[in-house]
Amino acid sequence: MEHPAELAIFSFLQKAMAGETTMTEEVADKVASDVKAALFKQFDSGPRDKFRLRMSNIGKPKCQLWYEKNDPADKTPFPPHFLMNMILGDIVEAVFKGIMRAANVDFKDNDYVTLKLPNGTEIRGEYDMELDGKIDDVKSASPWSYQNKFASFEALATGDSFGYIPQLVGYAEGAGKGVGGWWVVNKANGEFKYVSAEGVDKAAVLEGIEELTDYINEDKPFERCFEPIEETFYRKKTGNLKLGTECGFCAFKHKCWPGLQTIPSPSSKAKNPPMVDYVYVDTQSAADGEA
Amino acid sequence: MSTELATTGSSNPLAELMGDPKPETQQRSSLARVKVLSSAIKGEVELGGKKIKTDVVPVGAYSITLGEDVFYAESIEVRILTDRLQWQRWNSSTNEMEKSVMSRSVNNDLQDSVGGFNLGRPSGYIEDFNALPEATKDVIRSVKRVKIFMGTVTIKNPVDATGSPISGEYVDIPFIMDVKNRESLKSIDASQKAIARKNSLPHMTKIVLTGAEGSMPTGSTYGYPLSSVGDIVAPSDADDAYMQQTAAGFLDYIQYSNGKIMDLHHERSNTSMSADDAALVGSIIDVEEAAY
Repeated sequence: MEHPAELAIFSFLQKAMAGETTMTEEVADKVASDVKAALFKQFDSGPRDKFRLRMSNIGKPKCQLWYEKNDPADKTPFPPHFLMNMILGDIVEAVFKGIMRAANVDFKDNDYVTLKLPNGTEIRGEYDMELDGKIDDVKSASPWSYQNKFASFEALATGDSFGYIPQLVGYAEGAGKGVGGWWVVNKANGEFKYVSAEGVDKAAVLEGIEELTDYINEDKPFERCFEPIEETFYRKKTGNLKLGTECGFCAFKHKCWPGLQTIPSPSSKAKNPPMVDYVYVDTQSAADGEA
Repeated sequence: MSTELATTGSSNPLAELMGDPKPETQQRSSLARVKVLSSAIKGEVELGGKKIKTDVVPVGAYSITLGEDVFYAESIEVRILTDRLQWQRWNSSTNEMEKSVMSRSVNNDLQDSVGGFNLGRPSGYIEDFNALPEATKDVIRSVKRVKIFMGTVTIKNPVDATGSPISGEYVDIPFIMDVKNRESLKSIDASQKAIARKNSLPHMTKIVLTGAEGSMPTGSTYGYPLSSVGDIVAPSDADDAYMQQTAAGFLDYIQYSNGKIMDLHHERSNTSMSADDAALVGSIIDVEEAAY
């Protein structure tokens, strides 16, 4: 438990399961209107404007943002179900906020803010909520992400591939409020928790954001941020080189690594081996393994 | 019974209860510090007209410090609201308990009060402990992983240091307890998992803590807690409100305490450069620029 409101929400849900409480029409209407607004945002807002730095992308690797700005044509398009995934996230957020309201958790709803950096750059974004004078974000997560990425703030900081920390710090700084944390909902089973960002080094994060904006705005030459990593199987090196997690999610990985092969892991003994992005496959080693 | 988490009237009463300087106008607190006794309290009892020395409070009993009062019980009931992990090491030369920040996990590097991380303990998986240098082994041995439990405690049949029963009702008093012993952590973890399997919220089912006596190869003994699942708490709005208020106090304490450790971390990490060093670095940068 990392936030007292967690207890209020759990208690409300427990009472609801026992039939001892209800959701008011006002709260249900608000959930419905939030979902309606999300659907319009996803379907009726037309194509995205030209690239610009937003709160939701300022934590992404700068090489990825460089491509977004300078080479958008080479971006691997998202699959159609990506939109469905986004809508599910919006619905989870709307329903979760509805439950918070029903549990009498007093928070201020989403709002637009502008982060003004010392280098003159302004970054806009919309935060999810303000609770106890701090900015919180609602995230719907896969079971793996719920267990591992959102295990703690420190775990998230170790592998913040999507830049959730700079995003939250940017919202908080833009709003002139404290940095709160994330309300994380497991998409698979509905469990939820609060992950506090109290340990964040806000000054260092803001410095990183400013450095990123300098790099992107000044059209500096492309710099790849990550190197491939040596694949291991049961702690032994296989001789293959694969992309790390950050690159695995990047829509420009094929542009960045022209010889990239996405194939089932040759070392895996699983019935359905995982697909892995290889920069180099040691064919001799693989052949020896098969022999 | 007061339902206030702490009543010292200060801006951060929990911190004061944990050993920080107390204000002049300190009042009685309602936060209990719970420990397991590693040595029995001896006393005299009269048997057949003769006074004999015996253990009036045994090893493995709980010592509960509540403000100025200290009392004991062989069994307590707790409702756990939250827990955190922390690296700790006693530094006998400075008489200081060195600590890392409290976190949900120790799988990542945690800033510590001596200006480093994890009190110097290497992070990550150690494949071969024996292959490590002796100095590293010593650090690993001296730095303890501690789980800090926070919640409320109910004490039935408390006794004083002479083993005599004391009057008073101690129900759902906010408490903090550090646990290091692996067997104890396993035992409490098993109870927490059993509660989760019943789909009950952690604080809505009591955990009964008793004590046991262990011995070391040197022959000395120590006490450690053992746990079992207790009764379910009947839900009520008043209890909900009290537990939320108590939880908020603990979270404030964690934030305050981690803030203090971070202050020490920054103070002792010695990352700032002296003016001479800064001038030296500046001159090197000038040379680099001149070369291009």
